[in-house]
Amino acid sequence: MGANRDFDLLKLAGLEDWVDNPPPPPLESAPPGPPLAELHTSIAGNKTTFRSWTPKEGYQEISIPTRVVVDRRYAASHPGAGVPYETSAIQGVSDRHAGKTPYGPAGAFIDTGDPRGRDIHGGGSGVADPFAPEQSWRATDGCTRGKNEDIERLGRAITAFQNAYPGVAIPYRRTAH
Amino acid sequence: MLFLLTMVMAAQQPSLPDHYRGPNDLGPYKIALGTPLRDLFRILGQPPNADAKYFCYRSRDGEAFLWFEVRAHDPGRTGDLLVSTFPNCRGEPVQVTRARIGKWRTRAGIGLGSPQSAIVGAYGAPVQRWQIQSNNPAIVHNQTGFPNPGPGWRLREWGYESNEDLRFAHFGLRGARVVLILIGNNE
Repeated sequence: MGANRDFDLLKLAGLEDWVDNPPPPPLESAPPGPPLAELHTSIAGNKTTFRSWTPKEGYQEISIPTRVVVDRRYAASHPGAGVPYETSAIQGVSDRHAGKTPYGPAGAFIDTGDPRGRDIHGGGSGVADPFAPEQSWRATDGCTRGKNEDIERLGRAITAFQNAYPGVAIPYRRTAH
Repeated sequence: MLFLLTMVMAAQQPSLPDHYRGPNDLGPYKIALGTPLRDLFRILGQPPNADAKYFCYRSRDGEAFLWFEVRAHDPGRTGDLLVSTFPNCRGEPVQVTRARIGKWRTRAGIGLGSPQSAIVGAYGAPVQRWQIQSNNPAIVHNQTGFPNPGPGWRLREWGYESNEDLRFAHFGLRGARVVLILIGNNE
């Protein structure tokens, strides 16, 4: 810490080029080791990615196309419906809505742990084929929509990780970019 | 699931318009964020289980049938609603209602029995078209979201929807007459 303070003083005096840049201060704790995982939706990128790092299989990544297109009138009456948010731990695949038109078939719903219910799922009311593997796109009330077969594939990877490492939380981020 | 219904999509899926121009109501049902369930129950009669997700009614003359579901993100409101000239339930208890559901009309006057020319006159050409054919003797509201009108039936279905709006309406046509209206605003 002392070396850094001395370097800051030299910078203030315009003399920093006369000495070597000191090494960064040591981390207070080492970064956590594997297993690790995270789920991330990029709104502008139109994709959701599950990344995992395990001692057995190393780094793995699954990315699927998704959309966050919120019904205009619903968004106007429910501020925050389509915005970025994050949770500390997803619940994972849930079949509590399986077989309902707005959500799609079993396995096509991922509970992100959001108390507002902005989850990731397939299906779609009003489309011709809400239970088809590649159903038509449809807006939402704030959720992230994906094709049924893609959500199922993503969900299987998440479930496999959760089964292998039941104590490891999977955080979720939905970001603008 | 019952996938015995054969649906032939139009050869080319058209791009959807930005703005919805279909009906915004059907009888007492208002599409804007879903009619409160309690309002429909007052008109139709209280269902045996008001906490159910789906509800099914039949007119007293047996000539019109109504099915509707709870809105996904608003449990007290209606999501999709379907009226048809044939039974459309999926196993839910069917309640006989005094409401004249066969006479429900959109604000433009479109209802069961209306000619297809009236639909075009009111809402323009549909943005989606499907052909539906059924070989299933069971009469159910199919899990695909489309009703099954029984064996030997063929329906043409016209859809009105848009890109960034959850409102939609489908008109099922047999011959040149409306036999089904599916309208909704649900995730």
